[in-house]
Amino acid sequence: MQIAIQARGSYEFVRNSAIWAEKNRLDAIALPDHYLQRGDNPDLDGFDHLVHLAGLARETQSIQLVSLLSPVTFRHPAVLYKMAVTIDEMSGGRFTLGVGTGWLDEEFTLFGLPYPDRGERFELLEEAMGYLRNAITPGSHPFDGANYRLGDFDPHPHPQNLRLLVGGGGKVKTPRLAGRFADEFNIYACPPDAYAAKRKTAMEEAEASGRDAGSILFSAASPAIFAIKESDYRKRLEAFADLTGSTTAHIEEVYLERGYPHGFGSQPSDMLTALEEAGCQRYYGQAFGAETSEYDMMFEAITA
Amino acid sequence: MRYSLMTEPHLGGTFDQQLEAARWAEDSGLVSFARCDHYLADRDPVPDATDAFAVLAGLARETKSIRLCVLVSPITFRHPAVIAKNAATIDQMSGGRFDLGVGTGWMDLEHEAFGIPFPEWGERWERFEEALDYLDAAFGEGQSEFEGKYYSINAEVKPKPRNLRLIFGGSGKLRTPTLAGTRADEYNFFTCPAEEAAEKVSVMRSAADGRPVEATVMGPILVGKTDSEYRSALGNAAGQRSISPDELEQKWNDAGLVIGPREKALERIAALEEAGVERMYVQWLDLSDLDAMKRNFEALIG
Repeated sequence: MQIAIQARGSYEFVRNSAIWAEKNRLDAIALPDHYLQRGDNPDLDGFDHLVHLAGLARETQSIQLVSLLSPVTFRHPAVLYKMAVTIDEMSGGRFTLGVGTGWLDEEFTLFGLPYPDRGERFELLEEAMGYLRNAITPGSHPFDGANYRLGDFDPHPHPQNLRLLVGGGGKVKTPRLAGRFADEFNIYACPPDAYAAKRKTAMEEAEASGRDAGSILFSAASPAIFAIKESDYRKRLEAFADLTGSTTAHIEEVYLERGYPHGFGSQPSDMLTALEEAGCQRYYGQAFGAETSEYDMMFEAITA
Repeated sequence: MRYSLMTEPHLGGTFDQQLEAARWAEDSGLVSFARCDHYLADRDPVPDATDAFAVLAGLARETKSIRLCVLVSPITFRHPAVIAKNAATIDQMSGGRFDLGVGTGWMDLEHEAFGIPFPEWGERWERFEEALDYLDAAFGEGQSEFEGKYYSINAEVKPKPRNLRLIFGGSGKLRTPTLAGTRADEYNFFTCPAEEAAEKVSVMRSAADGRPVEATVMGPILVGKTDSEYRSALGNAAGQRSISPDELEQKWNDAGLVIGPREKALERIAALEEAGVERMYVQWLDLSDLDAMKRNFEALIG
């Protein structure tokens, strides 16, 4: 199983996270795309994650850089294509662009960004993925959707190795969309049987649309609350409870129910092994609220 | 006169070429490295047009002291929330070295090819004015509040940029200089004869009413250290445009561009300074020939 990290914060912080991840031979670093941090933590700064990823493209050498993931109504797919293909060039083909429906209501309403209902956002996402796939495929592949239109020409630059990611927790629509368009399908961590079912839906859809299902990278993401020592795990858990205004008991209960890898000793790696057996090939631990100095302690529980 | 380098990577140009140009500009003591924000120049052939904000984010990390500038970003491409977040993020990544130019957008071809909505001019101007209100609210202290016909915001926007400069550009004689005078940190227009420049700067200054706004021009130069060097550069430029050197010289002289052997070019620079122009962006189109760019530049500024 590939191990990756998802980090958020100032550029200095995400850069230090990326450098740590590269030094420790993790496979990828992902950044979320939020203009506001969650409503329960409004004091944090919000940045443009694609701008951050462009910087990381120049300050890392080998690690994969992943947008996980960008709400479709933030940017027109033309802008997503151009930013993505530019970061692809700047990184020497190490970039994966993720696009999703968006879910954090306040960041759309407060910034005045379009935020139609979920059904319509899903239609926009489907069209945007079709547009992006055509735009990044060398040659002229016009796209004529109800919302987005790509003309009859061959957009340049052509990517070196730009990959598209679809992600989310949905049971049917999201897996199908991933099957049709994605190079990577990030399924928000869930119990192994549910993971396997979503993966199967995506693979069937890929085959039905004439794609090689084996070419899709299946990944998962969840909050990373783990350590080898139980006392370290308890400390991280308490810190996360403080950060989110929750209790440690509630977090553990929810994580168990949702199948997020967590715990101490061999617990987190056992949970990851179960996800791997369900078909997950890469796991992103969300290190939100942690300092980079804590990464060694957290990640040795799953990278040892 | 102070100088900046203006590039046009929508005509083609890799990130590495833009980096080399930016580093040369930094080492040469120029004020800023600027680039346009266009997604297409032509359909035959289609150039390798990169994204301005992604490139400038990379340059923010690979330069140390030079200012980095987008001149100018059409408000039709991105919602002002995205412009604000891109700008504040690059401001932080560069340690406060980002200059944000914004405009109405004008190149119908790129919008049509990529399916980006391109309303008629009146609506684009309305949107531009609203986008400015939005950006003012987003960058200003305290809660950001603005409610317009197209854009609105009511958020606590963090972080605020630490040293962002706002540039308006355009060739209009009244509306643009007036708006720049009242709302921008810099007013930029295409190089023109000195008398015309003086009129534009004067409109901007009276609108500014004492507020400090920098007046800048942008345009190509064609300069040689000697008359024969100039003639040779003129011949090359004319050849690329399939017209005679005399015709090109006439055309560019009429447009008030900075051309000639060094002495003559410096006279024109002096006239622009006299007209109130404080800085010139020297426009260079061909990023694959940076040697020619350096020769041209060095002929003017030594």
